[in-house]
Amino acid sequence: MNPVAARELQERFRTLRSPLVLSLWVLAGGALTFLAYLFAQSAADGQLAGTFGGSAAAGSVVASSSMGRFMLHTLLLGMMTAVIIVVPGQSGVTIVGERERQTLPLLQVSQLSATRIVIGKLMSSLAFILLLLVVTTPLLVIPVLLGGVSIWDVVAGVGLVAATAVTVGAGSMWISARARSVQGAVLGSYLWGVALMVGTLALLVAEVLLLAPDELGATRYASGVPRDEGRELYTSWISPYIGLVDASSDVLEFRPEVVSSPYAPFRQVLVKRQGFGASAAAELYQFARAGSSDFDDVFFEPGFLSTNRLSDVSAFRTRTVDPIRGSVWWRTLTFEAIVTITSLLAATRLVKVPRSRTARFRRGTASAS
Amino acid sequence: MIVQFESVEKRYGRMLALDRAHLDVPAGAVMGLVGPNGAGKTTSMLIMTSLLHRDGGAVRVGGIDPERDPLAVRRHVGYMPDFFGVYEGLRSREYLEFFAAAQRIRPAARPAVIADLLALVDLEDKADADVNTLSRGMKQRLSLARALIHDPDLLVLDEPASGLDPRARVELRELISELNRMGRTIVISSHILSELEGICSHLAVVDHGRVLAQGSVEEIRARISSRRKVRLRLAGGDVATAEAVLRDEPAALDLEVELKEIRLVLDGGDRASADIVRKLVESGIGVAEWRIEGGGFEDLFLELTENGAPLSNGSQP
Repeated sequence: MNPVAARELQERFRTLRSPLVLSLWVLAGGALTFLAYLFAQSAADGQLAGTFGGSAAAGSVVASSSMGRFMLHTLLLGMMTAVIIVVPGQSGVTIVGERERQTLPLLQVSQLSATRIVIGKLMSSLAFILLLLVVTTPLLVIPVLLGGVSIWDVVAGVGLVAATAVTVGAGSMWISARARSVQGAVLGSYLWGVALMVGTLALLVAEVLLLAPDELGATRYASGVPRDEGRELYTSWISPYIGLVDASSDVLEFRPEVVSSPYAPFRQVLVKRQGFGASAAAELYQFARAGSSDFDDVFFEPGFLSTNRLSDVSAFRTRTVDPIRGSVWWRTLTFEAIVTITSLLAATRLVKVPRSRTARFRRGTASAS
Repeated sequence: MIVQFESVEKRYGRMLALDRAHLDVPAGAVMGLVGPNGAGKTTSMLIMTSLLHRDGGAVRVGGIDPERDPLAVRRHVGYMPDFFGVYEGLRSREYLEFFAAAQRIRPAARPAVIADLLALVDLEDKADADVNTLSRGMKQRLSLARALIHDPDLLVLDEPASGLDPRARVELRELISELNRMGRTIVISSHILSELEGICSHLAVVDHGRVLAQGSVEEIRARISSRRKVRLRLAGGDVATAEAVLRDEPAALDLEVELKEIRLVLDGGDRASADIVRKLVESGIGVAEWRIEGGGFEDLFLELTENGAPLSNGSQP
């Protein structure tokens, strides 16, 4: 194992803080899951009476699936937000901290290459947050059991959260390598986290408002739902939230929802990208909820619901609208990979090349003779 | 030579930290880098340990250019900076284990290496103590153990005695002498010159980025200090006779005669000194004391830096 990572993990896990944070994290995740379940259950009660040809069993399946999605999406968004909040504080202090406690030259003069130092630092700063993700993963299986989401949705969602953690960590490490003080590094790292969390969404909103009008010369789709050629929303590629939503759900799968998913606002952006304006998307949802013949036209072969047993309801998942554009999540992953590699290379360069002490001389804080 | 600097230059902005410095450290030597703060000692050490790039000139450490192959140089060099980097919550043994791993020492070999080093620096009873609780002297010894963990040929010690109490200084000096007897070349810096007396076999006097003089301590002393003050105390015989003997000696200058004591300036080396003493004794003068004053490192340094210009084997090629 990388010695830098091993030592830092040893240092970190010796404190009371680590098991305390770990326990609180699991408790919070459990509480969030339980509350999401209660909320979804209460919202689902009685919502489906009279739909699906009066089939209570079909209504129950739909309600359960909707609850599953609500729970998974709530947990994944919570995890993503927690990662962006926690990681800068962990990674931002790594290299500047070594410099401040005067241990960096001791590492630099050893047989550790700058790359191993940087990778070790990244591993140690991310190990704890990745551990938090791992201990939360069992909670994410509950929505799978409720239905409406697949294990792939869970894996893809956790994977994107983990990839974002690495990106935030790598960026924070570059800031840490450049910073002159721990306080400056932490501040810079949090600004980087906020830029990734809020800044990318702000850019996306601006692009949607400025470049993509609400309805673009709608054409009539076969189902009767207005749709156009859409427009690529480039800023959607760099938002971890949009990537997460795209990776862990099928945005073109219009389903009857008894509980509105927290993914809804993000999903609207992705739906718009596929040529559906806000009103068109709403119309599709209405079809889904009404269980009308139009609903059949959109999601199923004609007469599907009246001729198939409930066990075939799983066919819901495969009946989606064809996409015009490819997925966003792999573009987000590519963006994150580029940022991660660039940040790590830059951080390595700063650790590798001995820094000019000119600046420190000018400030009069160095004592090099 | 285990370390060679040829016309090495280093600038920090407009400030010239090293000015065409030439430095040769023979294998097996204890080379003292002496000079005031800001003279260029730490800069020289950072360059020879591959922690700083030079702006000009050539450097070889064990025949290797530190900029071309820093990892190879680091295998040969143990570096102890003038500060002790502390990791929170580590015990002395764990501190050394970490650096053993960083130096790629096989896990199976680490316990024995660490036990030997703790014994060498006399910290066996502090093996499980938190490094933060160690005294400064103990931290310096632990830092020395860290620098030795990969068994380097060359030890570079930057102001190792800085901030130590007298007892800790004596212990550190003994340790450095012991390491030299074990065959290691040691480069040690200090701006307190008396700290280096008695442990250095060689000396390089550095000031304003220039190496003013270097060589064995005896060579430098002979080269720069031809005139030394001498105090002669008589135990018997005639002061006038002694004065007459001395006035006949061209190497004895500026005589000041007192009741039982004569002060003079000796213009010559150890041979001239021995000749004069012999003549005094042959003339029936009882020599109670013939004390050459000065000639220590501080006098050498003052004499060199007052002259300003580098002597042979110094900065000029």
